[in-house]
Amino acid sequence: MTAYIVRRLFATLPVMAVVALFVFFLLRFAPGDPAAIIAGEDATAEAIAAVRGKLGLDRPMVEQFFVWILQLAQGDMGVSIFSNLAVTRLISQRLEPTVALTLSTLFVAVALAIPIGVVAAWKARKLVDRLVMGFAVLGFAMPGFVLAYILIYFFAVQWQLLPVQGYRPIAEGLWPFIECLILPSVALGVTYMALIARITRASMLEVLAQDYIRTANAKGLATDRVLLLHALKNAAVPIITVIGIGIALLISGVVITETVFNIPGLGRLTVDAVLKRDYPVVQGLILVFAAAKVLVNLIIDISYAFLDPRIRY
Amino acid sequence: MSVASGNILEVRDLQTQFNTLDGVVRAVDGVSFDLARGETLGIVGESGCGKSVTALSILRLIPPETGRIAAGSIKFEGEELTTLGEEAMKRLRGHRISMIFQEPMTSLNPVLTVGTQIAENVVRHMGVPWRAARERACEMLDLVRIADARRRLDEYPHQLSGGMRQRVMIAMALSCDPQVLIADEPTTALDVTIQAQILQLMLELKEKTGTAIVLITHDLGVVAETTERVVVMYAGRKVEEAPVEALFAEPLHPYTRGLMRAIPRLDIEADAAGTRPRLQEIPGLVPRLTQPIPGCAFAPRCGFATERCAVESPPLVDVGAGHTVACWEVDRVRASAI
Repeated sequence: MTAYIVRRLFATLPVMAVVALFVFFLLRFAPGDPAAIIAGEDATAEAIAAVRGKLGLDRPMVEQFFVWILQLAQGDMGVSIFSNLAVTRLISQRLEPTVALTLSTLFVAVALAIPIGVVAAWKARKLVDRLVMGFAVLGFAMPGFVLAYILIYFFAVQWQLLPVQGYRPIAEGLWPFIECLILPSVALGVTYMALIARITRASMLEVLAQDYIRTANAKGLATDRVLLLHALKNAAVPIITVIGIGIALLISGVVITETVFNIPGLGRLTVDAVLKRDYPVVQGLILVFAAAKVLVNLIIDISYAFLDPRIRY
Repeated sequence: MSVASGNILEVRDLQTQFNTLDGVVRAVDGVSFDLARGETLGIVGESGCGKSVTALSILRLIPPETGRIAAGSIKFEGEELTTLGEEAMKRLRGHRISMIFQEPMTSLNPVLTVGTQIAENVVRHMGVPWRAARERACEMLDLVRIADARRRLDEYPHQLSGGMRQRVMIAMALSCDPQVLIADEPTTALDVTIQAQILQLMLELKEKTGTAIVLITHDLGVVAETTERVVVMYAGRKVEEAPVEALFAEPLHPYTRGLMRAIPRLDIEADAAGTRPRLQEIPGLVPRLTQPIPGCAFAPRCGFATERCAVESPPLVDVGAGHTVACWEVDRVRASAI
């Protein structure tokens, strides 16, 4: 297992290299020029060229690429064109809110979706199942930002139970931290929850028809043991796979949610950097996102082996 | 009272039906039989004759979405099971009545260890802690002659062969000393040599534990070797019942005779002389059970059938010494050669 993990970690290097290559050249081929933005709207061509020279953007693109890669190899992501702050510092400052929001959303979605899916499969085609699945379709169809405004209207404005927006770091206390995360997590998590609940139900239904479930029932085991151990453990591989795919969806969902709830996270940093063509920042962010996805995939793959003993690496 | 009569299980006029798109299927249509303490009873018949459904009905494991016990009575130690509450029924399953299934490859949970699957049964019904239950599981694996039992406890089903898995199923089924073991085609999916071992094992364990066995099979060879009494089923009905010697000495239902003629035999001398008779099949197919059958269900495939057979259902008649048969033409059948 350890050998497998080490091998997989090394295998991420070429993946990251390809990501780096693409993000670098796509950004530079995309329309827009940071030098023109810095120089201002009425700048002359000479002024823009001067800024470009100062930023090193007038060098051949391949040369710029290798300069960046060499920096990266030393753990240096470069400096923001606009704020002059180190990209690593910009990202680490914004990391906590995004990680907190992603994890809390994941928690809300998974903690609700799995019980819902299990109950729906257990009571398949009965009223509970229809209600739950109807709710899942609704949740899946509703865009997160619409739900976000509805939630804000009721919970924050009308009933004043939760803050309208903003973020408090965990260092300021647990409740203020949680309080700010509840609405964004629910808004972001509902789509995701609907997706996981549907997969849980489908996967459980398939498992519940298997011979070994009949055996478990013939042993007179309690219903919860049959459902939660015998069935759910067998149904887990597709569910975990969807959770993994969902994390990828979450990362893009975070951008909108952070905007709606005014959370100073990576999502907003990304939007700002893209709009300003702040090349080093965008490049750094994309690499961080890519690394996160690769890591999530690795964790998912490893978890398969724990859930199903027939899978060996 | 059944306890006094020595019967541990009494099934009376059992009717189990399934709702399908083609209508109501009468999978079991008025079957009755008794099981004495410590007895081995065989239930034989072709695929689709209602053997397995009878077994599942006894444990009330018919999926409620599609099927139900429509009528009849099942008494276990005098207690009526058809109306017993679900919780009480769960306490019975795997404890006092257990079951082994046909497919050892799919009947064990692939993601739980063998030890867990045996021990959970013991924990559930004997109320002992896990550690003690695992010890019991280890003993049971020894009992079903799985070598190196302690190591096997931590293995998963995919690490075992088909025969070993069926041994695990037997160990699991017997782990709480049940009074009745229902074995639904326990050897059908196994190699012939393994089949013999498993049957031998079941009989030995029966001697040790005194568990009564209901052995469901389509294989008359298995019945001859292992059971004391046989129920022959056809199209959801019992057509003949007899002590095993009597049945093989003088099968009285044309269907039973057909089954016997359909057993392949090794006859090397006849082979060499070229005089080996062709294996005889029973012509026709098991009838569809969506329509009520007015007469004898076997009549369309029967060489003895008369007009009466098609319209009037023959009652089960006792012909002596515990041998009953449901056939209008039983005298003609008896007079003819097998």
